[in-house]
Amino acid sequence: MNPISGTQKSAPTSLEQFIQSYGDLIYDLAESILADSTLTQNTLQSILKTLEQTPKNERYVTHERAWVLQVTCQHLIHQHRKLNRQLPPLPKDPQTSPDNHNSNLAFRLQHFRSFFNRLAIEDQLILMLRDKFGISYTEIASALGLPEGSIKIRRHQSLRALEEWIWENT
Amino acid sequence: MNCFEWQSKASDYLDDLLSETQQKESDAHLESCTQCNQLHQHYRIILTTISSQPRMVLPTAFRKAPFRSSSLPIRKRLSPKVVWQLMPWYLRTTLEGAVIVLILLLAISVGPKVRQLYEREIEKSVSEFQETFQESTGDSPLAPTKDAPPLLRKGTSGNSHDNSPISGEEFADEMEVDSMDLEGDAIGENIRVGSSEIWRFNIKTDSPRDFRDRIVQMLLELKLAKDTPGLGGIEAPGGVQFDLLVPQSLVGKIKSQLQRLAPKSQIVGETFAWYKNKSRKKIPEGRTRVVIWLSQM
Repeated sequence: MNPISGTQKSAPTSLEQFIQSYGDLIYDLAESILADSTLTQNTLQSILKTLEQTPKNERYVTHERAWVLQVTCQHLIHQHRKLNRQLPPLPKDPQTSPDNHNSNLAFRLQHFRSFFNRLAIEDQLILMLRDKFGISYTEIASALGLPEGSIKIRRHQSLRALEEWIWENT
Repeated sequence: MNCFEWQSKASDYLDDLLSETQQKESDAHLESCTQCNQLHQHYRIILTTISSQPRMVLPTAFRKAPFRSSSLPIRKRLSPKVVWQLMPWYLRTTLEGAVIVLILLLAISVGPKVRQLYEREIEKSVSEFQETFQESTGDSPLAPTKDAPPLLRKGTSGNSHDNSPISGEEFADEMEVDSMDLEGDAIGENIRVGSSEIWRFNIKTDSPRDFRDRIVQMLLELKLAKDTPGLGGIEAPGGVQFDLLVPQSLVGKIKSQLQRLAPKSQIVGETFAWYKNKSRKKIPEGRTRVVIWLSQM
């Protein structure tokens, strides 16, 4: 089953089934947000524990992926806030001449992650889930516990902020 | 469509979620507005950058053994709450029902004992009050009826028994409550009376003073000696008390008569209750101490 495209009809009942169905999705999302393999693995273990130990009557069998994403997002948000990272300064443009806008732009796009990490954790999740994994707004709203309209607005605001940072003075 | 309208719909435009009409209007605006067009290009670049991020695959070693070399402690025990929730519903319901029944049974069994302790405490305080206050005069508040001995007040002289080793109220260290009967046996005469026992009868009435006359008459009819100390009763705070030394053979008859005289009640033990104690002090052979407490209902 492709964990990106559709929902699963029957609920997996074991840890192995969870890993097989959603392991790649959760790992990729965690790595995209946390950018640390050790931390990603630890977070993934705690996510899998939560998925396994949640009683059956609390599992969303018909919208299983949304439930998995909800648990994943909660753990990632919690982990991200625990880290309390200090953001490194933005990389300086190699070319100081005003005529080299294109090279500066290319440099900034190469360091896209530096700009991306400055967004709020929820905004990062929205952009990743929507634009990298193609998750629908409805599922994202369910995962983050926000209204669908708010998801769209926050996505637009995040794009706006990224556009201002990257294309500043270019 | 102006710039503000386009930017408010930019997210849907990027996802191709606009209607045909709105799509045409947006396209037309982008062709005419350089700024929005540039913004649109920038958004596309950003979205392309995000979507082209490298895809990570779960490592095989982790897939096979996700909790190996884990920095998190592996919990072998589930929390009680999770264990309870994982239990089958029929088992949970059975356990919950059993616990509720046990609680009810406990409450039912403990209730009368608590009440008994409470009544004993009241009697104890009344007796102590009587001992404390000794009146010199022996005015009887009531005119005796039918040759009944006078009703004494608050431990007047004569309420204690003649030459009795008992000078006051005493309570055994261990209360021997032998089959405390709230309503009493049907035939209360055939009861076993041991030595050195104090039999206590509690009766609740509307008028303890009026009921006192009936008690006195009953005792006289049972051929209790007229000069028995305490036959007339003592008026105490809360009611009237009789403290008598009677032959052991009379205890059963007194019990049955009192049970018959006591006001009827639908609640078991509300108007008539009795129990017996073991007296610490020696009671004369063949005698038993009977304490009848008439209280206001």
